[in-house]
Amino acid sequence: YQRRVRVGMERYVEEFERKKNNNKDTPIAILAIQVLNDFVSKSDVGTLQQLLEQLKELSTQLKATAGTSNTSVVSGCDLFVRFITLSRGQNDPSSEDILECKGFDRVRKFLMDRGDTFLERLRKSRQKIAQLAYPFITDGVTVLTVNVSRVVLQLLVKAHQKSKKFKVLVTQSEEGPLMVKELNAQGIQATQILDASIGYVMERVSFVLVGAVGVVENGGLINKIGTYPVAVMARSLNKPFYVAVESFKFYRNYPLSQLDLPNDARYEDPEEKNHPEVDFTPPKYINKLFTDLGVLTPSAVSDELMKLYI
Amino acid sequence: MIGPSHLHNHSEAVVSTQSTGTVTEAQAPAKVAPIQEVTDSCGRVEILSHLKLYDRTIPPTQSLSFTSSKIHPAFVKLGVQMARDIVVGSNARCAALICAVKTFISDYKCPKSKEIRSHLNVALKPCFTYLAQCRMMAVSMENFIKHTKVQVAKISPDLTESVAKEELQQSCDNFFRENIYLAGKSITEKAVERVVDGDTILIYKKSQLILHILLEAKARNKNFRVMVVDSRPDLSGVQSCERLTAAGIPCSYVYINSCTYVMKKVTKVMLAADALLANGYVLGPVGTALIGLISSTYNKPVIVCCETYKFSERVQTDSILYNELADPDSMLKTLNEEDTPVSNWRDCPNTRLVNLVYDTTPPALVSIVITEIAELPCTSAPVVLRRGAVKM
Repeated sequence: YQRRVRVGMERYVEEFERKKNNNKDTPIAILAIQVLNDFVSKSDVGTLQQLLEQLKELSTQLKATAGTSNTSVVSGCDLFVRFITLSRGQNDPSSEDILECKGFDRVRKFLMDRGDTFLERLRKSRQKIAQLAYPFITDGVTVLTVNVSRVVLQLLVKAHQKSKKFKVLVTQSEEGPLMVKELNAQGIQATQILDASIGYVMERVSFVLVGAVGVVENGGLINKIGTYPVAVMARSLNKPFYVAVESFKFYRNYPLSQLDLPNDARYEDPEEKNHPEVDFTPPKYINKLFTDLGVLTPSAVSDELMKLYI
Repeated sequence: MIGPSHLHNHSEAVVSTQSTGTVTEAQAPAKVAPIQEVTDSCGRVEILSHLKLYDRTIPPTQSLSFTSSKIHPAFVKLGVQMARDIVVGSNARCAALICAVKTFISDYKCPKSKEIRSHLNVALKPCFTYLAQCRMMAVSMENFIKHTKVQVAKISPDLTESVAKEELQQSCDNFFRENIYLAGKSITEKAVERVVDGDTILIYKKSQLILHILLEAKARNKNFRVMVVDSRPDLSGVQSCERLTAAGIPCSYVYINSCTYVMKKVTKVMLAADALLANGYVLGPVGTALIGLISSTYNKPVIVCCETYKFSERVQTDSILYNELADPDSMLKTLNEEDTPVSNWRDCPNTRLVNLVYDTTPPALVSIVITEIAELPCTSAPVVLRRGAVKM
């Protein structure tokens, strides 16, 4: 049975790969959730338990192909499964309850509806973040950001559209030039700096704004390597450190040190273990998180996760 | 001093009068004479004058009378055990209290004119008051008492007395099983994951839960060492060492004075809590805050393990507002049983001895709190309280 299931899933894994290559802009977790949603509508199982097992299996496979963004795939898929099976949405007391559905077809329809709602919410998450957080960018600020992040990009573009005058410094990291190019294309003044020079510029920076690969249970941040030193430097000079992150990146893990991150989150190739791609920033260095659930402090992340999982 | 055999006879005598006594009781409960409290300001520190200090030279049962005592012998025994530090540790004290309450319930006979659900709480009250006078109640015990009161009040009036009593005893058993036994197992499962090969784990004094975690980790063939930090006057860390070395875990033992010296070699710190307060502060045996501060400074993760039934709605930011004063004379014991220079401290007007039992650790110094429902950051304690996760 297991082998049969796995073979059937290859089609979905291929579709995931294809989507990844075609949509560089969409977060990888959303693509994974789209594939899962598709799977729910086309799967031919008869019970909810079987469906959940298969979804879990598929998530694991998708995670394997996702590289180091796999934490967001894991958290996104987990949240998707959790959301669609949540009986009686808390915001929606009039909607049909999953416990009242008779026959698995009704259940499947319920799950698909919830899945579509979830995807709709996620698609809007970047917009929501931009809407919530652009007031933090006032005239004359200098923003420091690390590497490329689409969420941060959208946020800065929104602020620019609201006629704020500001400057952006981008660390080179791996894909810094890409971020600079995108920002300049939108008419925002962006300069690239070496990672080694963050100490030099920090006194002129108003605040630091970064994206995230994942946010862990204690409010800590998993992001491209090089973020942790920026956070420590910012704290040392009392500059605010903000993170712009979608809520599906809340990851159920509680690392106490850099080595507590799982191997497949840190390395491109867990077997090779060349050089870690991400690092962990403890919550005490983070001032605020801009999420689609609101502007949160790191301690509120645990609260949100508990609401969902416990 | 009352010896153990005398106590036994005393409790038997009280049993024979107790059963006839409860049926024909007067309405108003007779006042139990409180245990002698030290009230003169000589020998007391002003800032701690709001904390009760009891005279330990007289036995706690002195004030109890043979014939009309409202205190069940199980509670008399428990009170003396607590006062003499025979039963120590938040879990052990709560478990002993559960046993005493169960014994009380089985011996209890409801008067004909009263309902069990209103009268039982009234009957239990003097027992709890007496216990509190023997030794201040731990947060775990207070939470169990709250739970019992609710359970008693919820008894349906159409149940017979024997069925009601059985139900109550069952709920006591359930409380122990869910909140102490199973919670301990769940916490152990989570905490053992945090122990990796090559670790040096620092623990403070003796805690049943932490020892259980370390012994379980050893049983799973993890390769680690333990640094036991101890402090006077009770020196319970010695027992920790004994139990750990008996299991084959390499142990080192230091006094709390040398905590900074050993902290460099430590990889993790595991502490147990007596309570977790609503603002995220951790209430633990005195010295815990010091360990937390030193570990934080050396950047070592501090793991606090605490069952959810010990979560309290109290809020405090210092260790003075709510604390317990233990016997100051126990601080005079030295290793070679000599007289210390302050042995006659009661005669010196300028010398005071203070033996505090608890202290509070701020949430910023704690990396993670492991409870049976989740692994939380310390600031999320109020979330657990709010969601009513404590099984009441």
